[in-house]
Amino acid sequence: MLLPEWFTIAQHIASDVGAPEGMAPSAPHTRWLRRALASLSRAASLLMEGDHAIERRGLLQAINPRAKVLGLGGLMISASVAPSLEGLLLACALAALLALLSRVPWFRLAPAFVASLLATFIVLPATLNLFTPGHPVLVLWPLRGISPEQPALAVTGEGLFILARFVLRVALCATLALLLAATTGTGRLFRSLRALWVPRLAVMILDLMVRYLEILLRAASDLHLARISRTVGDSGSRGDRKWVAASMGALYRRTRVMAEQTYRAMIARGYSGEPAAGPQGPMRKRDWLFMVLLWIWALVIQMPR
Amino acid sequence: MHIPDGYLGPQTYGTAYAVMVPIWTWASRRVSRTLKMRQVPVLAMGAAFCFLVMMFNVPIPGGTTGHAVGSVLVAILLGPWAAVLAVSLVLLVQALLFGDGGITSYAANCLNMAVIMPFAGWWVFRLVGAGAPPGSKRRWLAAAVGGYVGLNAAALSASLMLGLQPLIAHDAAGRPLYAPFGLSVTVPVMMAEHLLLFGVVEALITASVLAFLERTEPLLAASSAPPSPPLSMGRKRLWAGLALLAFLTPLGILLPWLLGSGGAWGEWGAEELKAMTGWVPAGLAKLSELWHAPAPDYGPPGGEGLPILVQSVWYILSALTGSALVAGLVLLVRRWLWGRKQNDASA
Repeated sequence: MLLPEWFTIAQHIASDVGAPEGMAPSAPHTRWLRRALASLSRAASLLMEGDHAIERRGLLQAINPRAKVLGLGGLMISASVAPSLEGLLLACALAALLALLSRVPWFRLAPAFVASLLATFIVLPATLNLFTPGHPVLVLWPLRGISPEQPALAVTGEGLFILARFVLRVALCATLALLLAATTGTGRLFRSLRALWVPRLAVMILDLMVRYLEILLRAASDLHLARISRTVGDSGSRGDRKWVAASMGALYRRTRVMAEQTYRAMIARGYSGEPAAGPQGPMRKRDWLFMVLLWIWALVIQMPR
Repeated sequence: MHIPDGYLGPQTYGTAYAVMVPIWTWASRRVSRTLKMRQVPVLAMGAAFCFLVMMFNVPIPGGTTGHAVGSVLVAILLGPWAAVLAVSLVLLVQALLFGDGGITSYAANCLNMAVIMPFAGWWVFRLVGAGAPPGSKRRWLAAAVGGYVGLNAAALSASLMLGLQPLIAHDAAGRPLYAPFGLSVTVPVMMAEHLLLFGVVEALITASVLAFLERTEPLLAASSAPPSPPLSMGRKRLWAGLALLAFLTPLGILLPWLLGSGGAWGEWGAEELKAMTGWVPAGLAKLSELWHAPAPDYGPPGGEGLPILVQSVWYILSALTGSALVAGLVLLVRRWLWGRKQNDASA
């Protein structure tokens, strides 16, 4: 996909690799600005590339968004209550199959990997007999234990089971949510929320918000680029905080101006207070079939013990 | 503070959805009433602004950075009900498009960051900044305190949700099904980082942005965040509220009596301590003899064995006397300070 020039420059500066000639050199006191610029670039990239990902032909791309929301939502709820590892593994297998058949690029599922890593990191202490007593499988500190019954600090089998079940559940739920987003255009995804009784007005506001978010992300990136380019020495954390507050204030001013302009444009186009959410498309036989199959799978993963 | 999917069980996230649906409905009605047709772009832009606030890195003393949530700032600028909707929309976009937060835990995240945080912060802002004109330092201080309190209230709620999971959701073998750490771990861990670090970031950002807007765009700031009116609670209502609280004070002895529990932990007198441990440390015994209160334990001297109803009457009398003494003391200090101010002005 061909990204606009301003965006690639922002990415270069943020990553500090291949910055164009004449742009600001790397300096330790601008590192926090580069980090913020990198996260702004990532968000803009996801918003811009999201709609291109659905151009790929695949299974989920061909399904009505309402069927996807209801089917994947049902599977997610089932995964959130599935008590067994086998059931969660079955659901993971289905999620991987759906990703393959839909030709979803793996980088789109990266947040699920990050969420799993974070979950592992958070729950790792729970594998110790300090939190989860049980059969020791790996002794870490043989000299000092928790109690007379547990004379050594060890990783327990029960603790590992809790970790595996927790991480699988987190990874699965995140993957299902990302599959939905990666195979559905933003506007269609929001309109499909009507199937969950989300009010038409909320759908319209969501649609507007995402459209203008791209513009505001660019404005925020420009502010950061300008700051990096003009920073020569260390301005100190107090000066940096003042700049952050001023930037946010400037962005707020811009959002209010844009809101007024958008309102006038809506009035000029005949907006009379009735929210429009656009057509959702009819549910076909294959959509119903897909949804019912996912619900059956959602029931199946509750079976194994 | 975004709780991902898989951390909360259906008992918790289902309850959160049941709580949030009426709140969303009520918020939509309130916002529709105040913003009319302009609500659509204003809310969309407010939500986009809130999204961006969460993406800004903020340098803090000590060389590290953090990022603000911005719910209290949006509540001050757009009103708390608009903040409920704007932050809810931001959390939905983050969960659906960016995988940040979760779908099942969406309502729980909304309850923490889109309801508890903006309302707690906004109320504190109104209370501390009551009567302060736009552009005054007290208003900025109120915004900082509001941001700090709002974020910590939300963090406390999130830590309670996570810490309750092992108690309410476990399998037949007693192993936790969701977040595995109890309240004794989640509350101190989450509150320590929010009280010491993230709360400071939120306070700095909330106050700085309001100060920037009031200095550079006074008209925009005034239309966004009108000055809080002075507190105007009628005296009758104030006295009635105080009297009600005084009559409720015996609950502090009636409930432990009904439940058969002991006194407050760590508030033992020398005799109680001796009954529990068999001895009293010499220093404690010496210091406890220094002062004999006229109404020990809110009762008559030597009235430990009195019936519970008589003790309750003594509790109410103590509450009324104590309130009157504190109110009188405050009035005296106020009169003294006011007198000094008048003298300075005339000199």
